[in-house]
Amino acid sequence: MTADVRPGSPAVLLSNVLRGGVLASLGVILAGTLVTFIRHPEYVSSPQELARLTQPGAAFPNTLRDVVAGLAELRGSAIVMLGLLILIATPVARVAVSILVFLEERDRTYAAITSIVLLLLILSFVVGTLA
Amino acid sequence: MTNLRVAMVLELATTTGALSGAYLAGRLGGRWLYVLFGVVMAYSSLMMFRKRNTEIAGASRPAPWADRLRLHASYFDEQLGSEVSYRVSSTRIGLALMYVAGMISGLLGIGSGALKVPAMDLAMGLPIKVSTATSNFMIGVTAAASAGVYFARGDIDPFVAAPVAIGVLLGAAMGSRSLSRLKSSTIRRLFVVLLIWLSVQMLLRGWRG
Repeated sequence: MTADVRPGSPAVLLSNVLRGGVLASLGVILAGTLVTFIRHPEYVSSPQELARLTQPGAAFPNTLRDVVAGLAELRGSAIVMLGLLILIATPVARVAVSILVFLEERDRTYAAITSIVLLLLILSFVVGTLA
Repeated sequence: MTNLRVAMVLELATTTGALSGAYLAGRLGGRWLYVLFGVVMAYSSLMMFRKRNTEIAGASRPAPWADRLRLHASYFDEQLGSEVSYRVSSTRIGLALMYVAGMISGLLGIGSGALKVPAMDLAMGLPIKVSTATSNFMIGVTAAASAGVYFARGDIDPFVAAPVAIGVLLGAAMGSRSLSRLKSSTIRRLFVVLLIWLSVQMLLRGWRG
């Protein structure tokens, strides 16, 4: 496949989506970690307190609503989770943009195959949240 | 270097596999899966070790599926300083292996690149660099298919995931930069070492239960 590297072409968008997604998630995760340590200096001063963060049984935001609520309160765990969600969403976005790449190449077979992959991904999120 | 067509065709199998894995999780004991995974890794490392001196493998077997799906391609090899064309074969076997890889990553929560690279390199005859780059692209997609399940279950500890994510992202950025410059045989040798290490880890985990 010869990649079209004109600015603004789907192939360029594809690599920008990946780079942007990874950089954004990296920044947000770092910011969330920083916020946690600033708001809870005891995690820095006491190793016992720090250990509580990674113990099994601790509760973490596990719905989008939790994450949004946590963000409103500027909670470090919610910010880190947002970064992780951006990281999870990046390859999904990349699949979506790939559909555009194939459409621009007038490659219907691969536009269809890629659309099925995207549908399967969406299905897995639905199944995951219902289970 | 990523073969987007190969990635998408195989993603059909890995995402279906990841979905089955998410469905089976909790219905199957993880223990024998670790053992199975460990044995498969050990076998792959042996097969890859036997191919260690091959720079570029030329698959010349007839490949009706790969022909129809136009999977054959080429990439620019910085280390060789030339364009390398390659043919893809055994698409159906690749699909079956990817289904298993997807299921295992859904069940065990591991990015199954260690299964994807040998499947593409050994079974489908893709050059090791293309296998690595394509697997890199696919891992994210397969992981996303099962990550939603783990998130909904509240199994993602942000403070365990944060340092892991930061380290992996920085390491991956450095790794993909050197990939093109390294010799294919060096990458394959590195991969053999990694597979042996993974295999031992998985077998130990299965053994201890």
